[in-house]
This record gives sequence, structure tokens and C-alpha cells, in this order.
Amino acid sequence: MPREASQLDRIERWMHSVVTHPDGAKAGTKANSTQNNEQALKLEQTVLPSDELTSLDRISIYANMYFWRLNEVISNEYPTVSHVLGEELFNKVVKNYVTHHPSTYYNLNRLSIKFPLYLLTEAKDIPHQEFVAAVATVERAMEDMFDERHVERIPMETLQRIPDEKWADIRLQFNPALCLLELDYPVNTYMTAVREDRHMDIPQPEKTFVVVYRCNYKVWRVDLDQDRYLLLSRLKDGETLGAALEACALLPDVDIDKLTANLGEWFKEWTAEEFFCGIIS
Amino acid sequence: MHIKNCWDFPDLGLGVGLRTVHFNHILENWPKVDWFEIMSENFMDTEGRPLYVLDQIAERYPIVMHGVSMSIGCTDPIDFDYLAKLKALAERVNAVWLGDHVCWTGVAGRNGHDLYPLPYNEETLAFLVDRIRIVQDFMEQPLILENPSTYLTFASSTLAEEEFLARMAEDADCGLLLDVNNVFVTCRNHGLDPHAYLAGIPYNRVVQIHLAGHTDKGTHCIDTHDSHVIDPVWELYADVHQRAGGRATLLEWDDHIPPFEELHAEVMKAAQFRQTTKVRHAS
Repeated sequence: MPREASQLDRIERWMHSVVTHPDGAKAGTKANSTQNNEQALKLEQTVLPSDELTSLDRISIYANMYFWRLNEVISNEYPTVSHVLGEELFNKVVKNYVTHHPSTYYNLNRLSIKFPLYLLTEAKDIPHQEFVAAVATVERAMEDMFDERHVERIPMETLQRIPDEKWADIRLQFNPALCLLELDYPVNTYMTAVREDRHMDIPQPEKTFVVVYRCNYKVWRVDLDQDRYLLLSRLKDGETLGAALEACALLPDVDIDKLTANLGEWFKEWTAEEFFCGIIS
Repeated sequence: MHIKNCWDFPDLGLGVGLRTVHFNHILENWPKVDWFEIMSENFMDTEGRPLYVLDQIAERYPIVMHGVSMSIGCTDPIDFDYLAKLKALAERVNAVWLGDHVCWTGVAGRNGHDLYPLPYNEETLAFLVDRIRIVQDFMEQPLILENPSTYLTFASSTLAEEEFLARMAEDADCGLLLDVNNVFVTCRNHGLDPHAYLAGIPYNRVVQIHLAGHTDKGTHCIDTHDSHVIDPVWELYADVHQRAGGRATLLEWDDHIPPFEELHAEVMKAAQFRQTTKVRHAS
């Protein structure tokens, strides 16, 4: 174990609390000295001024960079949320998020993992809150699928070699870089419009289904109809194809004849898009 | 003058930082670059395209790993999960060496994702030396640690930065990555003479040099890595080269990143300083 460094520890804790204070370094130093006791570090006794900057100016450089940097990361990950909220409100929301959910991991790619849930449950004062949270869910999924484990897909020939009578019993192992989303808004359509720089009003609630997946090292988001979504969900949960079809047949909105008629084409498409990486049985 | 580094790490020549925006250019053109430096964390916790591209690049070029999250000066317990991932990546890309910064990035389980300065005094030095040794034992190789750009001075500092670095490197038996742009920025921010700073560096510990652009705010400079290297930084580079001889040299450019050719042309400017030194030695 390295030897203790009590003075260093005190300085680090003090500086971190100052530079991450949501109201800036001045408020951070004030909060620090009032919250603690006479042992609390005093700014001028801890940080020296330079010829051109005061102690506060100098520590504020780090404080200003803290929120700027984390905001940049989250705005890059959530461009559509930023578009919906507008820059000013988005920045405010991000600052609140980072203040309530500070980074505890060494890598920035986990910083905004809780952002969609935060928008849904904690960011009460934003307009179109449920829609914004739904958008964030898809954007977060795209980030996650970008980084997910890489597993080789199964080639089409492997599926083609399965005898017809065996199909009902097969279970498919899904590409880990694939997730299925059930949403209360047409988020995918809206995101595409924003990406293509087309105006689209905030949509009315509408049940939609989206698959987000990585194929050939690119991340895609594609709308699914309900039949495909339900079938894929059951297969992804580990059901056999036969059991998944039977369960789908019991659902009121599913046209099982249409579903089974399309099955061959769907599997070709899904296999080409690297949905599957193995056959379990 | 040519001073070898303690480990005989090679002078890799002139390299550039590997950035996502250049992936396609590199894969399509395989440019004549001596080596690439990667930001380690960009390839950890991911198995997406960055790692796929890196695997291909690592087959063709020497790779040096340079991280921003080791937080070697942090008083929290050492994060061995992080180190294990770092080690695995180093083995995967056959990294020539790996390094990070003389700094801390957060404390008490919180991460500020910045390179925060340390008070340069005996307590910090002893603490840091112990930690570096522990990390080096785990990694089974020396760490090559970079002088950061700093924007404040702690009242409790009793040692000049270059003296602190020299003693740290000697006592911990680690290497130094001398960032000459950071030397410029730090000296500008603290009213110090950068050439005097360079005179205090133990060049037998210097394995690598960084170059970069910065932003002058009038009252202080910020290490922004968003522009060309300015002439005074090139002068410092020439000074280092006179003192130490050839060292693997890398250009960092992280914001407003130019096309690859422009980036490469910028680092190739370093060749004239390296050539100048050789001519002087020959005469």
C-alpha cells in the first residue's frame, strides 16, 4: 500500500468539491467553508495567485472546464435531445444531471447511462418530457450498441442447412449489439427528420417499435412492425421459434398467417443484418 | 548530444495521435507515418469499430498507449480493474510503451475527467513514488508519465515542477513523457522560464516528446490541442533535442482536427529540428 498523504487527500477533496460546484468555484469555496469547520481549506491559503490572475480566477479555469467538457460529451451522445430542448435548456438539464449523477467511472462513455431515466423521472421542468426521454432512450441505445461486445454472426448457410422439421425447436443466440425498444412515440421517424435537417413537429403519442443494432461496425436504428417486434422479443428471450410463434398467435393484434408467410424473408433479412450469432439448440 | 533513455526504448520517429475522424483515411491510404499514439481509454470498454480499426493499424504501425484516467496522484485506492483492462489492451496492440499524466482526475469515487494538478512537495512525492511502483509492478513495465499543463499553484508546493518530476522519475524508476507545449503553457501561467525548466529535466528518463497547439487567453494559456504548434514551442522542442537527441515525437490535435495530411505535415516540421541537431553533431 502507498503511504498515506493526508494533506494531499484534503487538497484533492477540497478542490474537487470546488471545481464541480454547480454555481461555480466561488460558490464552491463558500459552500466548502460554511459546511465544514475551522479545518476547512481557505482558497487564498491553498491556491496562490499569479501576476495576472487571482486564486479564484485560477481555480475557476478548472471549474469552467468541468461542466463544459461533460456537456460536450453528453451533447455529442444526445444530439436529438439537444435539438428538441434547444441549446440553453439542454445545457441547464445536463448541468443538473451531472450535479445529481456525477461520474464515478474512469471512462466517459458511462457518464450518461442514467440520462434517459433522469429525463423521465427527475427533469420535471422540461417540455415534452416523455417524448424527450423516449428520444434519449434510443440515443443511449445507439451508444451502448456501438460499444457492445463483438461476436461473429452466423452465416446464412448455417440457417439454410437447418432441416424444415427442426426449425420449430431452434433457439437463436442474438448479437449482443442488438436491442429492441417499445416506445410511446414515433421517435425513429423524428430522429431521421432531425438528422436530415427536415422540420417535424413534436409528434403525438403513438406506439412504435425500434431495433437498434450494430452490423459491420455501424449502428443502425430501424422501425419494426408489431409482428416482427413481438417475434424477435420472444426469440431474444430464449424461446424456441415454435414457442415464439405460438405465443404470438395468441395475441389479439397479430395476424399469424401473415407472420408465418413472411418468416422466410424476415430471417434472410435479419441474418444478413447480423441479428444472430449462434443457434442454441 | 544524445542521451539514451534508461530502458533503451527506441526513437520511433515522428508520430501522430490516432483519432476517429482519420480512421477511413488511414485504412484507405496506409500513410507513411512512423507510429501512432492512442488514447488508451478510447479503446477500453468497447468492442465496436474503434477496436476493429485499431487491430488493423496495430498490425502495420508501432502503437504507443497514452491514457488520461490512471489518476496516479489520486488518494483513492488504486483501480486494479482499470489497470487490468489497460494491460490487456497493451498486450492486444503490442504497445511499445504506455503512459499517463502526473496528475489526479477525481477523488472520493468521483471523476472530474480532467488532469488536476498536484501540490509539489515531499508528501506528494513520497505518495506518488509508492503508487507508481505498485502500478509498474502490476503492469510489468515502466510507466511513462507526462508533465501536465497547470493553471494554478498550490501554496503547499515546495518543489519546482521539473525538480519534482526528476526526483519522481528517479525514485520510482519510471519514464517521462516531456510535453513541450505543456512546459510552455505551465511556465507562461506561472511566470517561469521554460528553458530553465528544460534544464532541470533528467533526459535519461525522457522516452517521448509531445507537441501541440494551445490557446492564449491573454492572462493565461489553455492546453487546447486545437491548432498548430507555435514558434516558441518549436524553439523549446529544438532546445530539448539539443539536450537529449532523438526522441519519439508526437503531435496531439484533439479539437478542430484538420485533415490527416495537414496533421501529418505539422508533425513533420519536427524533422528540421532533428536534422539540425544531426548536422551540428557532425560538424
